[in-house]
Amino acid sequence: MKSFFYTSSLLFLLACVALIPVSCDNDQLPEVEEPEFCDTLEVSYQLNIRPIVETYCAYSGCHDGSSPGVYLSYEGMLPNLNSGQVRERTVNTRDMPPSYANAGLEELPPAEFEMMQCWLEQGFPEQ
Amino acid sequence: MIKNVTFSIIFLLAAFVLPAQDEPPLRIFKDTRVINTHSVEVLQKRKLDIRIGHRFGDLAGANGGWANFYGLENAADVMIGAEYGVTDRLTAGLYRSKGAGDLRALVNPFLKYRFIAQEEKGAPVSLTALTLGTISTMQRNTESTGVNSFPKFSHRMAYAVQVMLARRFNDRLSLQIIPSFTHRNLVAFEDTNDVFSMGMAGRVQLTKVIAFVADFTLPLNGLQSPFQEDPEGFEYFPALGVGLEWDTGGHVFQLNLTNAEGIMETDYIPNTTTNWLDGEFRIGFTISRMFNL
Repeated sequence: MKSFFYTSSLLFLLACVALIPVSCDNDQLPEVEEPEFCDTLEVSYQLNIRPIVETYCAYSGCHDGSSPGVYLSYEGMLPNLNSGQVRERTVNTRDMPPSYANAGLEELPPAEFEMMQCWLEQGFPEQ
Repeated sequence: MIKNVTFSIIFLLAAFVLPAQDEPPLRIFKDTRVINTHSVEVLQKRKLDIRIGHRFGDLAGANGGWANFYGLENAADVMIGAEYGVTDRLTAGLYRSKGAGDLRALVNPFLKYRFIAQEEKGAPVSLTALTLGTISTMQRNTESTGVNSFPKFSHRMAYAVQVMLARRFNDRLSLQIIPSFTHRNLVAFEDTNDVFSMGMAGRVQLTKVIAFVADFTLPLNGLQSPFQEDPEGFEYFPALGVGLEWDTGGHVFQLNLTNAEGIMETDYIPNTTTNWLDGEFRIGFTISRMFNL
């Protein structure tokens, strides 16, 4: 038993060391392009974003206080808007809404996604 | 690439060629971790340490408070895994963590080697090196313009290399400094692949079984550094942890507070965006159980 663990750990060690030089890249993602209509349409939380957030984010079991970020109001979203977390997860990484969300809510439809993108680009105004 | 291979060879040679010590080394820290950072301590040969770490949600601030019972209903990060003492100097470990940054669902193998151990009548300090690799197993999203678009497999990987230099000054006080290098193969636009950081850690023995521990990690370059302003206003903060450690004989239990959300080095060093001053700190704990094999 002892020799099994010892041999296993040595093999694991060799595998780890082999992993280090496998790949070392210095890559950067390109800048995210904004939709063209962002220049002409003024997007606000109350008019455009609130319904999207209520449908896709702040429902029971998610950003209603059940997970980090209470998005039941503009004030609740503000800390994660200011820190850039909302932009990072919703627009850049696009892992919010998550793939394990309720059926039909796993991702923002294109129109809602672009609306969110413009709102964030315009400095996420409330009114 | 050549540098990486050279480093790997030196690490392997050092692991098996350096002689064992005559005198038992001083215990500078009781555990192999301080709070966020590793300590200089390594496992004894043929010891297996099963370890579970947890970081809850924000205790206060906009994302904490009563709404989620002061963060206790959220999990910022969770880590589970084990490490094993291959020799008295070399520890190998493998952990799975949820991840709190751009890369999630992480598998984290590491090697930790103690080059010098502080002794009563010998070396005045201990010196240990750590290499950690992180591989994300999160689902690839081809729609994404973010890191999880994973154009190449290597983009799932990040690395951290640390050197820990520590000294036990007396029966009560131990201090450690931790220069670190973290590399991510793929980063967001205008972010930095290589992040250099300097860490500090300390332990003060309060009673026979309880000690106060603290650590601090300051990124020195890139968007993560407090000395540089992010053009998009995405703010990063140094990771600061404070905690109490109970040594109950067979295992060490630690209760801590930290603003870092991620647990692994490749996670909390480049990804800490939460600020103590905004109440964005969390309760964390680590449970460790040692087995003789």
